[in-house]
Amino acid sequence: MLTLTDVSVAYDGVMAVEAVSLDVPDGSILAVLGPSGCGKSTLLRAIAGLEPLTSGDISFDGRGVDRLPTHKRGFALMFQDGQLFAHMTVARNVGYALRLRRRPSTARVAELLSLVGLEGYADRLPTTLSGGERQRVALARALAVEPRLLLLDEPLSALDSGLRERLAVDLRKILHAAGTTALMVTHDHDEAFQVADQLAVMREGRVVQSGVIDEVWSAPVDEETALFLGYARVLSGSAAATVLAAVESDGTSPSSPSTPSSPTVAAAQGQARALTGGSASLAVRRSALVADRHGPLFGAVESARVTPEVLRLVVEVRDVGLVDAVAARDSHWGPGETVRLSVDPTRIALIGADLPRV
Amino acid sequence: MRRWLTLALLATGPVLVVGVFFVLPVSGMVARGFWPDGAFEPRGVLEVLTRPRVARVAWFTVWTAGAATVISVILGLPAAFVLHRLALPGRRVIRAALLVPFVLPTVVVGVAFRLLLGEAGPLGFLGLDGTPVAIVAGLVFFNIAVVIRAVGAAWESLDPRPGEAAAALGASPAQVWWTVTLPALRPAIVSAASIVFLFCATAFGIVLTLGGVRYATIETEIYLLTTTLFDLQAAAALSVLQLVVVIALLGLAARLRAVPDATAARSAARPRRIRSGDVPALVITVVVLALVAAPIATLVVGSFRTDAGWSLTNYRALTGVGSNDALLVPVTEALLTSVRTAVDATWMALLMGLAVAVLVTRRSQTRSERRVRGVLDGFFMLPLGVSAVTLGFGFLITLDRPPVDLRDSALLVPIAQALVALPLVVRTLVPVLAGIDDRQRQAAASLGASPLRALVTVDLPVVWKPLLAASGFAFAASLGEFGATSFLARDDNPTVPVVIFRLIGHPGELNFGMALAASVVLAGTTAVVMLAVERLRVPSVGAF
Repeated sequence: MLTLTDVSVAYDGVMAVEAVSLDVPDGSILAVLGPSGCGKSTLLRAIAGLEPLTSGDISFDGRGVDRLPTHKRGFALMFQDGQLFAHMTVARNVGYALRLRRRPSTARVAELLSLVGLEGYADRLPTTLSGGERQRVALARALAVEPRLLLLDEPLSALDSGLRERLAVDLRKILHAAGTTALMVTHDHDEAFQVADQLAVMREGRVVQSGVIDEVWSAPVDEETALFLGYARVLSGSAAATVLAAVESDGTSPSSPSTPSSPTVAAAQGQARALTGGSASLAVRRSALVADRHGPLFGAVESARVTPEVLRLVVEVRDVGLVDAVAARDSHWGPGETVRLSVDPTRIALIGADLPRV
Repeated sequence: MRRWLTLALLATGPVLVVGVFFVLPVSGMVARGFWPDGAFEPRGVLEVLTRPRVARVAWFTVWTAGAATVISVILGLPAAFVLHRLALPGRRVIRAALLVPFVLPTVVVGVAFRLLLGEAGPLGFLGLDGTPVAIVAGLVFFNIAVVIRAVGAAWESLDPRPGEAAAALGASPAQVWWTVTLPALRPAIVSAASIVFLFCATAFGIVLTLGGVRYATIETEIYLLTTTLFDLQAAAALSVLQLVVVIALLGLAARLRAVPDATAARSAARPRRIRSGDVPALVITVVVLALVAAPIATLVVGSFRTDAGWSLTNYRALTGVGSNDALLVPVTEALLTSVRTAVDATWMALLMGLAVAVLVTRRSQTRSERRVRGVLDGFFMLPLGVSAVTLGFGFLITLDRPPVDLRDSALLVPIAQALVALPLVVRTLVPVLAGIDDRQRQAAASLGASPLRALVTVDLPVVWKPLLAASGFAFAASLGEFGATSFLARDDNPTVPVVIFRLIGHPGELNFGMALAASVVLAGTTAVVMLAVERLRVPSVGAF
């Protein structure tokens, strides 16, 4: 288990990482999510031993590693752009760490290449590979000697979106198959969700929230975090109360798969009344409101836009204001029309309320 | 069609100049060997090449140049690392100081080494004066700066992340060096080494002053054969030999230097803090600095010494012609001549170099166009490898009759010096121009900029500093040029290096003292120019 205790890193007196404490249990994947410049890459480099700590401790399985140079830590680092060695073939890249340990093995290289789905690429040069292939090779290279911790620096963000999604799924599968403990930093919440099981949200050098990914997701600590986690809008006061009341009155709406007894809904409903007039707020995703003939909310369609999966609406809802909503792909809504909406309780989250947190 | 027209227009000037003032003299020199009496007679050349002395001279050239190259690289690499990668206080000044030897007049360095290693010198006890070791040391002194600059520049812009990736995979610092850093630096090292070998193999002034008659390289042998023995056929034969070897070497260097993508984005790493593991490299750097400083220090100290103790006598004597009328004109006048000549040579080299650099870096649209540009690139590098002595002598025998009669022209010396400086200018400008992404110009054009306007918007802001640096280089190189100038400068209108050589050839303590003082003045002038160049912070300065 990787343990960070009050880790701080400063560049020329400017704090890039401030008092970060995190645990990464064996076999789990932690995503450090944050906007660019929040210090997440610096944190990663500090764990790898590429940046000296200003204060704090990093230990692995209870043993401090701060004083170890990078190559003795046993943490493999995978860069955003792979950083393959251009003068070596794919096989030599993958086998690099094996050769360093004087146990080269073509069988192991072949096994790794097939793990990342690149059989037959052994003799290619990195320059002839596509971005996705390069990342796969980099992953195979990092996994070659079964590092006790794999550090991933925005492993997928250099790729185009379709490829990113596919590779994210593969990455998770490969990491779980290898039982690798991993820490990845990313600015893309989708990427974090697809790959990781633990999440730490970082802002301005500090970790503002961390925990199991679903829990963080369903209970963002503040408005900024909520927006960063992909929530479209944050409602407060009576607007939030109106939406929550709609959940309460319509917990069994056909469009919401969850039962009223699910913890999210129960918690939300429990807070509903307290919210009226309170200072807590409610984060809603773009698809939290669904067009529904029996829905409790009424609104006027401002605009509608067709996407490959759903019809996306912007609706002026009575007592709430402008919100995003979705309708079936084949339905037709035009500006000015009145629409009834129900609330999908799995797509909203309370902020700042005293929710039980892990 | 328009592209070809522009290409031809840009190429005409430099090609004509290099053709008339380089190809013509050199081929004239070569023709002397093969057509001794107007009839083709290659046997004479072959006979010369089979002489035992020629074989000895050739071998001596190769091994001294080889040894000097190896030593320069071995000492230069750690110094390049320390000065370009570590946060060493004052590293900028040290880098500038190390650049000075490279442009010091060869004669000055010869004098400094003789003073250092001579019987009365501080290192006289080593008994190295007049030995091949002294020659190799002199060559290393000159060329170590080339290695440090060229490799250092590459090292500075080397992306540190592959090394970090290797370290994260478990590679120790030594393993990172062998498996990642060295392969990445190899093109820079090979190209620096081949250039250093080239410089060493064609070194003239340093070998002539340190080796005397006993130890001769091909270059000094050509000089000896033409000026003392008047054996033009043998001299021509050696010139041909040298030309062939140099062209082969340049071709090889170009091939080894070829890097797939020169414009690839490279991130300059921040210099890192010094660690305990850097101590060996630091020690070697200090040794290098000492090696470079010792001859210069000896020279400066010597210039202030006379029999009567410390004095400025040697400097005061510079206004005179030396004892026993060693000179025809006072040294101060020679200094004026030197500066005037260098100014002329600089604008000539700059004008030509700029045209050549633009010419060879413009993106080619067709394969044939690219080939033409490649050939031109190599063509303009030729003066780099051809011995200045051959060039100077070629000037004498070919440019003395119509259509080009420059025997008495004041431009003869500047032209020769400009040709010698041309490769320096081109090599300073080409990497910078090649580094400009062509899409920048396309973006400018798409916004409505004419080609000229695009040049002003995109190229000029990037290129003006390197241009200044290149003029500094050209100026310094021309100030110290000795090989060609020794042939071409008239006795009543010599440059300072020629005067210094005359002074050390004449007996008399005052003459030697004056040579030292003149050397210090010349070295000081060059150093000031180089320090100004360094302040421009052009990353590729001196990177060939």
